[in-house]
Amino acid sequence: MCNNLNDNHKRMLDLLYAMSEPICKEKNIRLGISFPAEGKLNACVYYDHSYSSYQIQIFSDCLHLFYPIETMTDRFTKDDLLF
Amino acid sequence: MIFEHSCNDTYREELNNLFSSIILLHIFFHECGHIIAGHVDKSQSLLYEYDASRKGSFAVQEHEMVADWWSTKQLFNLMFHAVNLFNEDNDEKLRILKKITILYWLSLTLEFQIFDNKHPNHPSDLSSLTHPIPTVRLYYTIEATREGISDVLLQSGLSLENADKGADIIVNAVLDTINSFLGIMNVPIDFKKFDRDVVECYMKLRDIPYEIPRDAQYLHLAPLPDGYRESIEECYRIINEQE
Repeated sequence: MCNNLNDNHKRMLDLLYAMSEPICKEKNIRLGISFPAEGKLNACVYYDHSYSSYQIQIFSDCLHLFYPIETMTDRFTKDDLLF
Repeated sequence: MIFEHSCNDTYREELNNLFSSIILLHIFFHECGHIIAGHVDKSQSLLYEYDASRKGSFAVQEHEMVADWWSTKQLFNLMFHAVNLFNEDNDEKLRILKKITILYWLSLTLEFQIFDNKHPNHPSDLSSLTHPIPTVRLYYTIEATREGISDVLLQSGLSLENADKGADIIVNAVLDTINSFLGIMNVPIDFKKFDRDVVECYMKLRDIPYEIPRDAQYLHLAPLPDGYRESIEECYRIINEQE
């Protein structure tokens, strides 16, 4: 069965890896990215000696910002958006 | 866009989806910025972006400014390439640059406000914060954006002088639009370009690495250009005269 949540996260991870690849090559660093399920609006970074790579974790609340954004932009009208 | 959207989404839902995507990218590249700037000590445990036990200072805030700045420049470069700007004529190029600048800056306004609400920490003494207050972050983002646009114009074949001029024109043109949006966004950010406290805090963050020799191992922004302070003072003088 297709798991849409996981598929979507995988797509995001693939994109972040692809976007950061040139800079990782240029700076000669290895990078791991993960989205821990823990519901926190936070991110962290550390060096993982076992993989000799930097690890970036982006916690799940950062992936669900649509509602707080909506509450701040609900006064936008279509005309406002034609900038 | 990174997040799923459907063909039934309204224009505003699509826009909010776009904001979500830009915010996620900024969070990610901000963390990359900490790595690139040397802020991640290999012998240290996890460096949480928001950590109540983390002790704040202007030096710590300067690290956040460098990470924000680096992220902004990376993202501008990526966004301009994503829309294949280099094949467009000059008018279209200008229109797209303005649009991206507005979208990016509004996204960061939302991001900083959301995180500030979730992790409130507003002591009277700003030196004890781990992150600059949102208004200061937005202020220096304008400067970082200006550099990002200038880089892209340079890549488009403009001379350094013309690229800088072009970036100034674009940034000045979008500031009014951004201020209009702040007026209708439900955020308590009162952004005034020449608010003295905001600019003073920004200049303090720019100065700090050149006052603390032990921070020499980290990546920093260059010292503020000669004449920057004088220009700011001149702006204050004009504003005071007008008032």
